[in-house]
Amino acid sequence: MKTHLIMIPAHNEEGNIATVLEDVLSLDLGTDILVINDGSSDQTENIVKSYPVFLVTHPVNLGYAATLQTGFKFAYNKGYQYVIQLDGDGQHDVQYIHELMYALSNEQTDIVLGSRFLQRSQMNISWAKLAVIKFFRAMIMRMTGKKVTDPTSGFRGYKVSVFHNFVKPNFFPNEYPDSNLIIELLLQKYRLVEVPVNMKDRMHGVSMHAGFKSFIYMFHVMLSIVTVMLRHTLRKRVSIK
Amino acid sequence: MMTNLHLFLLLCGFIFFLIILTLLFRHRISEKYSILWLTAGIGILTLSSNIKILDGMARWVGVSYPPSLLFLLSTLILLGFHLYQSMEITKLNKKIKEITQYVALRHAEENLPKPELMEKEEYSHFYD
Repeated sequence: MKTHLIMIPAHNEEGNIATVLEDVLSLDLGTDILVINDGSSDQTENIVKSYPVFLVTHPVNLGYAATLQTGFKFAYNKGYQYVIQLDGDGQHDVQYIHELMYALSNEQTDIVLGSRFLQRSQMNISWAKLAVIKFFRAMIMRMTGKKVTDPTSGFRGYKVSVFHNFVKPNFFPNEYPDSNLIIELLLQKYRLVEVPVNMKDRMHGVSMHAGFKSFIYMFHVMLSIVTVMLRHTLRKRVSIK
Repeated sequence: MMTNLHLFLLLCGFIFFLIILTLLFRHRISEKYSILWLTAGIGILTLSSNIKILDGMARWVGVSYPPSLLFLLSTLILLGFHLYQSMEITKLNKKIKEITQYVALRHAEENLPKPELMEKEEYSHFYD
């Protein structure tokens, strides 16, 4: 039984998923690999089937958060100790998976976040996205006192002590598991470290945060942060009483 | 005295009531929701048929034109229904998500590649 699971959510990634899988498999990391196909209408599922990886397919499209949660449920049910999550669009440089695994093996670490701002990255970031990242960075700093340089990074690793929470009802965010999730976990005293990683621009397809969606995304996450804070304050008051 | 507006509202209330009952008989709406809508229908019928109640309520609230109060109440009730429906949709979405994840995981479990397949020679080139 392997202890690590590399989890790749994918929705209509027929142009990228083969490259991602071949890159990960060529690393021979001694991990299991899981692709969660979120109701893709293209050839993603058939492409994944030709690789020696686990595949879970949603019969309908549930969205990014639910796709990740399915992966965590799979990992938890199968007894994995560590989960590394990376996107199926090829933006995350798989060469850095090893760094994430190494950082996660430290006893003092519960969560590891791949940051594109701790070293030069090949990804072009628009000024709007950079502004959003800076905003969330400041929010995390203000609310938790922790400096997180890349709060929107989807290149992450979790120990089972953390991701067992994601299986519980009402813990994992319904829409975007981003800065809001980081704040929630930091407030629960989980220990997070960031590791420098390289990210690239996607080769094919369109990002889920493209265009107007990025504004909706920002407001969604902001609202989620407010509810996380309210819930945390309420919990603290109840525990004091 | 009953104005044309009151008569019109009474007619609307009756039609609304009949539509809900028809939907209920045809199983197009569940009892749970039909109770809510029927209550709303009864409310409209009561208020529009008994003008004194509406006049009294309008005086008490300080609304000079009583039918305006009827529209205000309707809007507030509809807002409440809409909020309730959003809560129900959220609940249903959660259930759909749970079921979909369960089905997907069960299906994957039944179709897990056998360990020997994962080590098969045809895949060996991935580990070069």
